[in-house]
Amino acid sequence: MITVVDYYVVASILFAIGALGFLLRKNVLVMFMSVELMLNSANLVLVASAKSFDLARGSAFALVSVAVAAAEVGVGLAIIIALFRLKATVDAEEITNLRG
Amino acid sequence: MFQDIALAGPILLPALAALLLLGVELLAGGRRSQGSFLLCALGALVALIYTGYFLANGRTGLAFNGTLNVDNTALLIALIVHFSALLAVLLSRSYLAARRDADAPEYYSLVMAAASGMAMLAAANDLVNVFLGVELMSIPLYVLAAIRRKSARSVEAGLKYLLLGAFASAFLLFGMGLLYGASGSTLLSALPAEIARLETNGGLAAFGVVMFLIGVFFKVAAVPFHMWTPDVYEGSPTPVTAFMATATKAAAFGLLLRFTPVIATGMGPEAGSSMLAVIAVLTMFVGNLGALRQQNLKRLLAYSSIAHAGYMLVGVAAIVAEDGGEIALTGSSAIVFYLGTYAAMNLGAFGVAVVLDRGEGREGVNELKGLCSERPLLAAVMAVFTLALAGVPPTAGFLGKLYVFSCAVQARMYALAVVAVLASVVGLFYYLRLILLMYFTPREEGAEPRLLRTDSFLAVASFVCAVLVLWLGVLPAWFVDFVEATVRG
Repeated sequence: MITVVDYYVVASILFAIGALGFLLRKNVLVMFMSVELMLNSANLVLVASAKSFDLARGSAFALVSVAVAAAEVGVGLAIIIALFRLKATVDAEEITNLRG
Repeated sequence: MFQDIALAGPILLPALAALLLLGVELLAGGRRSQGSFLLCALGALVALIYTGYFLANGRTGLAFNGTLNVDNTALLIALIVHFSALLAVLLSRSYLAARRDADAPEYYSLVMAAASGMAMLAAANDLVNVFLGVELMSIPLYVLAAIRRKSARSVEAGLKYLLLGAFASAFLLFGMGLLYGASGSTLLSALPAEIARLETNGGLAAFGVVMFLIGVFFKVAAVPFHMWTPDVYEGSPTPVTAFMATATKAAAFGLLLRFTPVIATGMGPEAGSSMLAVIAVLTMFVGNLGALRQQNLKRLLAYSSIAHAGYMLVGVAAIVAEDGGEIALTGSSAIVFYLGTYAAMNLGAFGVAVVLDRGEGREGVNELKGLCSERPLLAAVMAVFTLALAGVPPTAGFLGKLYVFSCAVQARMYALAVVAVLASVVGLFYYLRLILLMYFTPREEGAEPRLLRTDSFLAVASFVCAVLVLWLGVLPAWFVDFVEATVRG
């Protein structure tokens, strides 16, 4: 029997994978993808909870967050392209103009 | 319905201004003019007056099925946000005139969009609205940070802000999902009761609160989630930094104040306040110690803003410790007072930074050397802001600290109050160093001549800030009474 707790466990694992990817990978695009994985694991929690309570609110929230994440991706990719045009790299280790 | 829209005015007016500005820029077809600057300043001013009018007449209430709670605290925070937006816009004009590459058509529109999100965050009473507010605040700020897209520093600032901001949003959203799972409700005001009712879920609510708080701590730049702050503040255009530092803090602390009952129920008052106290202490010390060794004025102000977030977290810890009762009111009004005074002094200091700006990576504190003999008025104004940031009487900064720290005493967190005072003493050093540079250090022989970038709008903005800082410091009674009376409702 799959309960809502199992969904929470899966979501937490996905979230952890995303967080580790963000912290360990050096490619800016991959870091950004990791964040998307984290956001989607949060959506999984929302949808699973909504199902367990039999309330639509959590599912609606997940839809809203998907739309917002899309906006964030749009801005994010634009900034990454601007960076690539300037530095011809997407490696986070080489982006070190600001230090102090 | 109309009532709801009227209550949401502090959120909708800047949004409307943002859309209008986009349309105007589209019609202007790339011909740059003063039009959008004036329209944006007007939009911020109208939003400010509208919010002030609602506040003065006690027009508060729930809107849109209770998902927005436009109470007095929300209106006060919105007032601070719109004040910051107006002043940041006034600072922008001379900055953009000097830096043509920052003068993108969408600049002013993005400022207004962010202000709308901040006002929404302050009034949000539903997790969905909290998330929308956070993102509507953050996404325009990512773009604004990177708006000089030919400048490697600016784009780097935008990228760092975006990556860490999105990382923080993921924590926030995950926390919201868990809180929803622990309560079955997304209404912030209903969360504590529902969490207590469904106690079977055990650690779910506590886990949710921690994840949610990590997201908020990123936004207010609390240690250990502050790493992005100095880089982003240095690389962003200076007026944008000023706006970020003041208005974002106000909005995020507005959210935190509304969230305190959930922290107390989800984690328990002791655990919640201990965690907040530890973070507050770390934030104050890392901010102040980090600022000591900074040579760049913008980085120095970034570390100072980290320290100020720590001071305000002291108040939040006190509120959570008592969980309701008298301290919730005095604590909230102390933090709102602090946010208001911090907005005035920080915007003023950044205004002076705009005037002294020599160009990228050369915003050194050395520019302040000998300022007193050359520009006595500018030096005096900067001295006022510096003393206020340091918390020296008779400026508003001193009173803000006094009120917040006395909340910790009221909550019987004596050690926290003592540590907070010690941290402010550490802070004195680098603020006084700025004063010493201005008044007692002559300018080096053969130094490049000053490039003072200023215009009448910037002068008015700095003057207003200086007057506010002194007035609220010398005669604070009316403002304190006003804040206390309105927060109490």
